[in-house]
Amino acid sequence: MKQAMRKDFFREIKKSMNRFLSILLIVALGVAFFSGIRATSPDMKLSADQYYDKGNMMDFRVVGTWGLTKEDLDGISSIEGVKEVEPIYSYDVMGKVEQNQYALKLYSKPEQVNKMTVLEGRMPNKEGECAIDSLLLSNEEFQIGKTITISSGDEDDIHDIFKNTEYKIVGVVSSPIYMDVERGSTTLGDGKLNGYIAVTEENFTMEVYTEAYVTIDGAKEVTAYSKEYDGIVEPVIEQVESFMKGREKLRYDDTILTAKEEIAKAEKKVRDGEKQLQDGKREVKKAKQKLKEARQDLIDGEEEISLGASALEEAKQQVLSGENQIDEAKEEIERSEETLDFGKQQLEDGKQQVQNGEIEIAKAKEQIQSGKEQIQRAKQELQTAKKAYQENKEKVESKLKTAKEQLDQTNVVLKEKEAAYTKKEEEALLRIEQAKEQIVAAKAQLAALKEQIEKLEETDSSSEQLIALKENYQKQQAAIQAKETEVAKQEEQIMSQLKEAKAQLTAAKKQYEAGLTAYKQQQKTVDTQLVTAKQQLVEAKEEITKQEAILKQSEAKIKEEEQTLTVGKQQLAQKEAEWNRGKTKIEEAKDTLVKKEQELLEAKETISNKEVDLEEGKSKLQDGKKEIAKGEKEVKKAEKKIKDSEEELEEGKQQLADAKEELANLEEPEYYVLDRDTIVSAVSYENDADRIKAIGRVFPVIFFLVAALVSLTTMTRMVENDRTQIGTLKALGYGKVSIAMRYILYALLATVLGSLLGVVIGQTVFPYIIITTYRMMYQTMTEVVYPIHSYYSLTASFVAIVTILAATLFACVKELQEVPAGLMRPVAPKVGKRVLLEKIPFIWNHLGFTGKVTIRNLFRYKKRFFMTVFGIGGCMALIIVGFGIQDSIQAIAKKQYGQIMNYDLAVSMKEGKNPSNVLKGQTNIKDSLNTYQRTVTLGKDGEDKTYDSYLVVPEKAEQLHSYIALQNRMTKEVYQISSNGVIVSEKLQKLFNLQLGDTITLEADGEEKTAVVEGFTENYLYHYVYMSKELYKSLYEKTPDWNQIFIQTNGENNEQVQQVAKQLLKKSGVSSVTNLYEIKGSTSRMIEGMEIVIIVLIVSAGALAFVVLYNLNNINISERKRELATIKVLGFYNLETAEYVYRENIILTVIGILLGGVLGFFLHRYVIVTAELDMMMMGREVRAVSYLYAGLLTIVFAMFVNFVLYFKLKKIDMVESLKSVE
Amino acid sequence: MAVFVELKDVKKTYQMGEVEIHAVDGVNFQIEQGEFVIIVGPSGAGKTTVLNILGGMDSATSGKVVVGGIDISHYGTKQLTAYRRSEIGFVFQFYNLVQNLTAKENVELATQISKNPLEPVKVLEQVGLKERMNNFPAQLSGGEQQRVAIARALAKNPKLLLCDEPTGALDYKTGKAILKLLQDTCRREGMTVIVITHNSAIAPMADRVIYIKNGKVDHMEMNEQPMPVEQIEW
Repeated sequence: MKQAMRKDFFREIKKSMNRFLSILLIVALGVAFFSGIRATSPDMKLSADQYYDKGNMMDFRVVGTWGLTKEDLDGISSIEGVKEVEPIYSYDVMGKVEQNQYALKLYSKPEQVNKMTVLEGRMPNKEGECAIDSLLLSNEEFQIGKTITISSGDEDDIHDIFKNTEYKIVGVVSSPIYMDVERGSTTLGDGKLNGYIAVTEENFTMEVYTEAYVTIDGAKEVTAYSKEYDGIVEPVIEQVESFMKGREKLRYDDTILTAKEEIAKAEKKVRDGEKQLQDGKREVKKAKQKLKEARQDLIDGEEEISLGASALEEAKQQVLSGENQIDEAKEEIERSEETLDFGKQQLEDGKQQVQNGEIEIAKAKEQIQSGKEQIQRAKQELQTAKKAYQENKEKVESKLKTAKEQLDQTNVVLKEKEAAYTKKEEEALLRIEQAKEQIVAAKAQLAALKEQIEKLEETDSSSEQLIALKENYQKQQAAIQAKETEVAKQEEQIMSQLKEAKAQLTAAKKQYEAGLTAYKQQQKTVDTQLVTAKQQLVEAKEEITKQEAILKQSEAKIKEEEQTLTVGKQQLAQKEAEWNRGKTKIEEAKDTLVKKEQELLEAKETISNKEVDLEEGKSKLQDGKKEIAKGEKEVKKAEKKIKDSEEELEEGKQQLADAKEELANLEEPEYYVLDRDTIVSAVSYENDADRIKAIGRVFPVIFFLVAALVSLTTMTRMVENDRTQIGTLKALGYGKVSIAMRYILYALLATVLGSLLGVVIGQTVFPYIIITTYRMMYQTMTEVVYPIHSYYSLTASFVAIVTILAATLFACVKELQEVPAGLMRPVAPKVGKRVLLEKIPFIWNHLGFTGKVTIRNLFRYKKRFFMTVFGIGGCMALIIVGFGIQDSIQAIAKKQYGQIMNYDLAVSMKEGKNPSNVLKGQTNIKDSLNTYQRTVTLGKDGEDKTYDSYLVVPEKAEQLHSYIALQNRMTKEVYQISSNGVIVSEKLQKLFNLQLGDTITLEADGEEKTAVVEGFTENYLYHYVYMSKELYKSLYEKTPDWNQIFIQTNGENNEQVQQVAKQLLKKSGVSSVTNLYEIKGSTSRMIEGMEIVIIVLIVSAGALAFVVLYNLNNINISERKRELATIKVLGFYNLETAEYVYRENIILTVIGILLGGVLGFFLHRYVIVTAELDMMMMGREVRAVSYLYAGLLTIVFAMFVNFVLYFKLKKIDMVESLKSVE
Repeated sequence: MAVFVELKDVKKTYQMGEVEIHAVDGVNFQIEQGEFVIIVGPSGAGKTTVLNILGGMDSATSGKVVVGGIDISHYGTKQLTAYRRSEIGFVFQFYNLVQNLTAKENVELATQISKNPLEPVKVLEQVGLKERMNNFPAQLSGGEQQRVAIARALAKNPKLLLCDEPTGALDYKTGKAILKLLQDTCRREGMTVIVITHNSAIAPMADRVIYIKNGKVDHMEMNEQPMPVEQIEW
């Protein structure tokens, strides 16, 4: 490159930094995605390899049906290529910490291979200690310091295998062979292992090791899952397999020989035993006879004693009754004497009373006499009082009468006076009236006169007659006036006289009324006094009468008492006579009593002598009984011994027979050599890594395509811009190559720098995020390795460089081929064209002017049209995939435990326990269904794959649908299980490529059965096979043991359901209770981790949208700078100018979103189907709201770009419009 | 006649690094309403700057610019846009037609934002393009394209028509026709037309000729009897 051109080159970069950076960034984005996602899969494997190496993971293990002996182990060690052999014990047990039973695998702790990592606490180092699987920590019962009690889950005796059944938890560990949350299956519990625990070797009392972990020389040095690894491991495994095959025969023969010898020995022992037994039986028979005789003697003696005793008892009874009689007689006498004393006292008292009575009667008589005298006196006083009252009454009445007469007289006078006054008044008034009438008459005359005068005045005013008349008139008028005055005076006089008279009259009246009132008052007082006096008289009389009555009563009472006294005196005399008779009788009774007492004393002595004899007889009898009991015991002991010996012998015989049979049926032992592909977590991890690889094949391609297209347009634009310069250079004589170099180097520099950036960022960020996310499922895997792979770096960079360079060359070639003169001329502007739509006037004419412009512009720049639509569509599709993955994952928990599994609780029964009693008396249960559930291995003829699956057999097939919805997801057909075939979960259909009517195999406990598939039911988690009771019976020839109860409770939330679960757990026979609410919760939580992937996708989509849109719009604006400047000159406001461009963008965005919706639908489907694990099915639908969110986010991204562009548009200088066309 | 346009001591200074460049260094002139004005000057004399300032595409650093009695020298971007929208018609040297729009649509582009526009079809008829109304610019000759541009400027019904070297990209004959169209429009409509050119030969056709040199008005001539374009040869 020439000096000048080099300068120009670097100045160009500096000048167009934006363009340079945009190419660089889009290349970086593409390369980052391409190399990053692709590197993730190997990085996952590398991380796993590092983790395996850390724990020194085995390359294979050997398991034998008879266990492994020392010879086996030595043999394996001696094979070439084998590095380490670690024998261990393992055994499945049921373990319990508090309530729940867990199926656990007990391991003896490995020392070299498959080393466990201590996460908490420490490893066990003595008997009775253990370290637990970290997975068990999710059950709160498992904590360091607690103790696990183990028991055998089946009929085996736990003590045959273990020294201890209690293990104290001292640590939490992880093992490289268990990376995920699956622990495999077992024959115990519900068929699923809950976890493992590690103990020290001496806890096991087994004779042989159960398995051996083996590592191979050189395998650790190469990467796990790689071809090199397989190349190292496979030949060694082949050798071990052939060695183990030889051991099978050897061990079989060895065992048979030893067994035969032992059987012979045992047979001899049995024969000896039988002989001994016979002797023993005979001796026992003899002893029994002797014992019988002794017993008869004893019975006779007992009878005799019994007779003597009863006679003695009778005599004693007689003495006792005699004594009683005497006591009673004594008591009788005493009582009689007491009565006698009492009678005497009473007699004395009676006499005293009679005397007192007589004195009292005399006193009473005296009192009566004085009472009578008093009454006489009172009567006389009354008479006097009556007389005085009569006199007083007469006196007062006469006095009142006189007063009354006076008053009446006054009244008559007053009336006369009143009449006189009235008369006088009338007269006076009459007189005045008359005078007044006269005056009126005079006035009438005067009026007549006046009229006359007036008449005259009319005719002749000056006539004499008139004058006279006038005089007369005046005279009369004066006279009338005088009279009026007089009358008024008279009236006044009369009135005043009348007034005076009236006043006098009123005064007299008042006096009279006062007198009357006084009289009435007096009369009233007198009346009252008289009444009171009379009342007093009546009262006094009554009092006297009362006193007389009392006196009479007293007299009668005294007479009665005198009579009573007389009767009392007679009774007293009778009682005295009676008393004297009683005294004589008592004296006689006392004499008889003394005689009887003497007789009783004699009888007592005789009885005492007899009792001593009886006691002696009894003691003798007791001794005899003891001897007999001793003899009986001895006989019984001997009999038991004989029976035991018999049983022992029988058992021995049975064992011998069993042993013989066993020996006859003995199969050759089998050894299995199992490599890492039989470790579940190792395989599923590999699958996951391969799935990421599948995603890596699609996504980055989208980004790369976009990157290439964007770069192509950018470079084309650059070359077109430089047209004149290219022409000039050509004219100056520069060759095509050296001119092209300028652009190629420009693109190359941007691409190389972008690739470097992309390689570093991509291979760091993507593997880290994705592996970290996966670690939520592979919790124990601690390693995250993400080196930069030269392969992915170089391929991505190479592809980027080649694509971009090709694009650049493509852009250059056209210009370079033109002659310099042509290049100097401005390129003919793109001819405006009519679009197809214009031919449909119906639509076209209805479009506004701006609409027409927009549509023409859209079709004018076709390249831009497709790229923008593709960019936005890609963005939309990626966001849909992001949200869609979330939807699909959420659907697992939501649909599985919300729509398909409809029960609240599942109760698992202990082995062989009947579930029928569990729900008795349990409240809050709505409904329940007994089922049989176990894990089976599902396969199909002609397919190598097998999948562990749950076999569910309901007791009542018709009720199953209310606990588990059996429905086809696509056809919505509801299934009923029949006796002809089974319903399997949908995912199995895909995995085995099943058709209706196909046959599948179910393998469990070594039995393989086949069944016809009748339907595929919607199911998201694990695999299920639903079978009817009838089909089960015909396949297995037995009724299923109902070992699980599906329960619907009345509880409405987790707490209420959990309450029921707790109560159920306490019931006998219940092994565990699963709460679906809890499972739903924990499944949802596990899935939340996937959100990181979604955020990565959305951010990437946003970046993609931004880069594409920004670039394209940038180009668009610079291409149309002149047009936009002209529009501005025409007077378009800034916003109007922006709208002119935006309108096109909006339409492109809408088309892009629509296209992206379709693209997203298919992309999501592809990703989900590729990414899901075998044991689950993700939801196939993307929710409508996710489309909405994706659309909105895309619009936001697009709007953001338009917002940034607004400033660019604003900056366009109008002077551009004046420039000449380049 | 009344003064329609007045520039008073108008200066425009660009800062280029440390150097100040005076594109226009104190321009003074007045133009009356309805005049056909030609501003002549050599390249770089500052005539385009004057045009930009007059057309509201740029504002003066100092001085006064009065158009139609209103001082626009201190207008902001938005006010200037409104001013361009309603007062000014602009004819470019390179026509600046939107390639994607037909002749009629190009005119409509202007009329749709004007307050009282003329009927696009009529205006096109006026400039003699009735027949070619529905053609795209690429299908038209240079002269025809310029006619469309003039129609676009006129359709806005502006008070002032500014033309920047309207014949610069045209051949002699066509250029003459365009100038005639402009002169006729001025006479017929009474519109004030300002044409900027470096070709002083056409000066006689104007009512007023302003000579600009080194960013200043060198001198100004008034033609009492402007010559019809047909008679001018160059």
